[in-house]
Amino acid sequence: MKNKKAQMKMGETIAVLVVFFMLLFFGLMFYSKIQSNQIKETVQEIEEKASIDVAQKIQFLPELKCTSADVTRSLCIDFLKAKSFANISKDNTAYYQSVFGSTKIEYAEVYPLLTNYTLLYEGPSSNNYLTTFIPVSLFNPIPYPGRYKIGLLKIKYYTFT
Amino acid sequence: MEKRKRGAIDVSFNWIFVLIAGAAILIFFIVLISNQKDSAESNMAITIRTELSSVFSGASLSQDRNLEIDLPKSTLHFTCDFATCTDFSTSNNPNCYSQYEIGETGINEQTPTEILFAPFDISGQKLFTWTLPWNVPFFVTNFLYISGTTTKFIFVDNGQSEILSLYNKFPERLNKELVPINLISELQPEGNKNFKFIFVNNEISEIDIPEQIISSTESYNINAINIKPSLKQIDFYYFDEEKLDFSGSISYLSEPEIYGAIFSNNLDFYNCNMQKAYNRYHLIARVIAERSTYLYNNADIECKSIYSENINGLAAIKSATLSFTNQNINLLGSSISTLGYANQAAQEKSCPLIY
Amino acid sequence: MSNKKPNHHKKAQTEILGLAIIVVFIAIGMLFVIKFSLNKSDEGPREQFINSELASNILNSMIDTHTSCRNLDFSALLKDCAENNPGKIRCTKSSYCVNPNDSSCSINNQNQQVYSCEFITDEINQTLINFMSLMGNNRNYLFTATLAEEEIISLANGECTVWESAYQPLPTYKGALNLRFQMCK
Repeated sequence: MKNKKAQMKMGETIAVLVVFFMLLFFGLMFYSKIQSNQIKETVQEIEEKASIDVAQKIQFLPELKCTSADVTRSLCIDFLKAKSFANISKDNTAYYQSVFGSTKIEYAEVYPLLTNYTLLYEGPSSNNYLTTFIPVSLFNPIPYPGRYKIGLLKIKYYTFT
Repeated sequence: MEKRKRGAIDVSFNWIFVLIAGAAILIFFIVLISNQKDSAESNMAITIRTELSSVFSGASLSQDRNLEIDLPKSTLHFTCDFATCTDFSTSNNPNCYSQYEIGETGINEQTPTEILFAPFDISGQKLFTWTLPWNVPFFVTNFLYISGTTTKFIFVDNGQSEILSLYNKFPERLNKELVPINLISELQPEGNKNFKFIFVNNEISEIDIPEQIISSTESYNINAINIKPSLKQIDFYYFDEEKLDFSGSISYLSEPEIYGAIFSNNLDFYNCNMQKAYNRYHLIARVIAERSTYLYNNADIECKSIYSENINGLAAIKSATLSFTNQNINLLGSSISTLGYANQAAQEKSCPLIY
Repeated sequence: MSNKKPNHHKKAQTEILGLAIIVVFIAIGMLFVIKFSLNKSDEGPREQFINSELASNILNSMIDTHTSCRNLDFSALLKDCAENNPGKIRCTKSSYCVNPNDSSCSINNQNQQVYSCEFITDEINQTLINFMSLMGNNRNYLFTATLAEEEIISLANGECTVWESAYQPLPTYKGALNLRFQMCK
């Protein structure tokens, strides 16, 4: 009888331990699932912030923005600078990749004539991207004193996650 | 007798079992907590890195602005190695090995093209940023200056007006002090760890760093620059045992570069960031030169001469910005003036501006 | 008869109390989970940034843009429209039509002289249509130009409940001409 009692007690203790570790295991599974979802959300947030940073950098890029000596006009692209930049960026894609990341920058004229998008820069691409549109003024300095048109900058920020 | 022995074995076996099981559970939880601690530290470092990246990116876009940023308790380590820098004379993708690291976590942000003038280490709970536009003569980039609460900037007043001008333009928020040259010995550390001495046209060999400053920090945290405005030259000094030793000199074009030298711990760090700046300068010069060519091809006769690259200085600027050297800096000085005059002439003749 | 209370009653009560405590803890935990999942904001920082900037940038990009009407910009023509409704400045209608199927939009009418109000309304309308077609999402919008509570120009595309708004006042001698551009979120 005593042997059986002792065995039952042992069995009881082992059963408690088994249940305890099962609960612990399920708790850890649940916790790691939540963590994994949180990590995915964090990565998504980081990518979105990076896309905003890149959009702001491009808005204020000296290679594109309208200047008049030391005065800068915000949200304005100099048409001739854009033409030059499109040529020069092709020869220095790797350099601009460290400035913009993997991005595709295009612009189109909205007014007075609607045109197709013209490519300014293209870095390595992927199937996932975040697109930002920035309405801008397009300034053509010729003929003096120049004319302002309306344009639209389209920035595709590629993500690789 | 048997029963007593059996009882004795039963009891001790029970306790041994409890000890083993308890130890196993404890070890399991200790390992789990330790892993979670490392993971939490890494998470925090990643968050700081992401936030700082946005802050630095945004700060560098606005001109002449100084910001105060709250930091969690951590140390930032800034690195920029001039020896690793490449330029447009040798590569289509020039960059420098440059980064900032959060504490000892190994989490870092690479900054191969960003221009950040900062000391090697910034610790404490506040970070200060300041930006100045670099116009040479067209806008190239904003120089971003970063400092912490434990860096002291000591402007040594020897009666030269330039030191007063530099001191007055320096942001109030930053830990700065204007000290007459005869009162250097009375300087106190006041809890600071980094000390930067700024001189103008001074004889550095006559300067003695006070003992209380030397004993309060490591020697590599004490350094100085001597600015020579007439020669447009900055001399860098490092502290070695008892005195300031000359480490090298470099020419400069404009005031933002002087402030870059003030915020950098040594000549190597300064040169590294200036090389990155010159890489940007070269590309923007090429854009403006090509724009100038478009203007030349479409301009009226009275405007055409203004847009010729070889006459307005743009060709010389493109060539001199291929690499960052004293010789090229000196060549740029006159080309910048030429371009400035050409742009002014365009304005006077009612022609489209070059920049 | 035994005077002892049965032990299993006390044991069972203790067991049930233990279970009840566990259930209470689980319920509190679920409450926290529900609270955090409800508190999640609808818009991330990227959406907030884009929505707050897009409407105002569209409006700002129009203001200083030159038109084919004597090379005057949008703001000059809007001011003339507000001060002298339907306008003192006469413009030649643009060489394109807003709606090619519109009977009024024949080749004969394309060099028609119109006053500034009609001209600028067409130009703004065409600009907004072009913006939406380039952005590819055809969002609903509403553009109004109001002078002292009187709506001088109103251009709408669809309905919306939650708008992102941008304002730009233009000074005129009759008071401020309030330009308002709203886009659907």
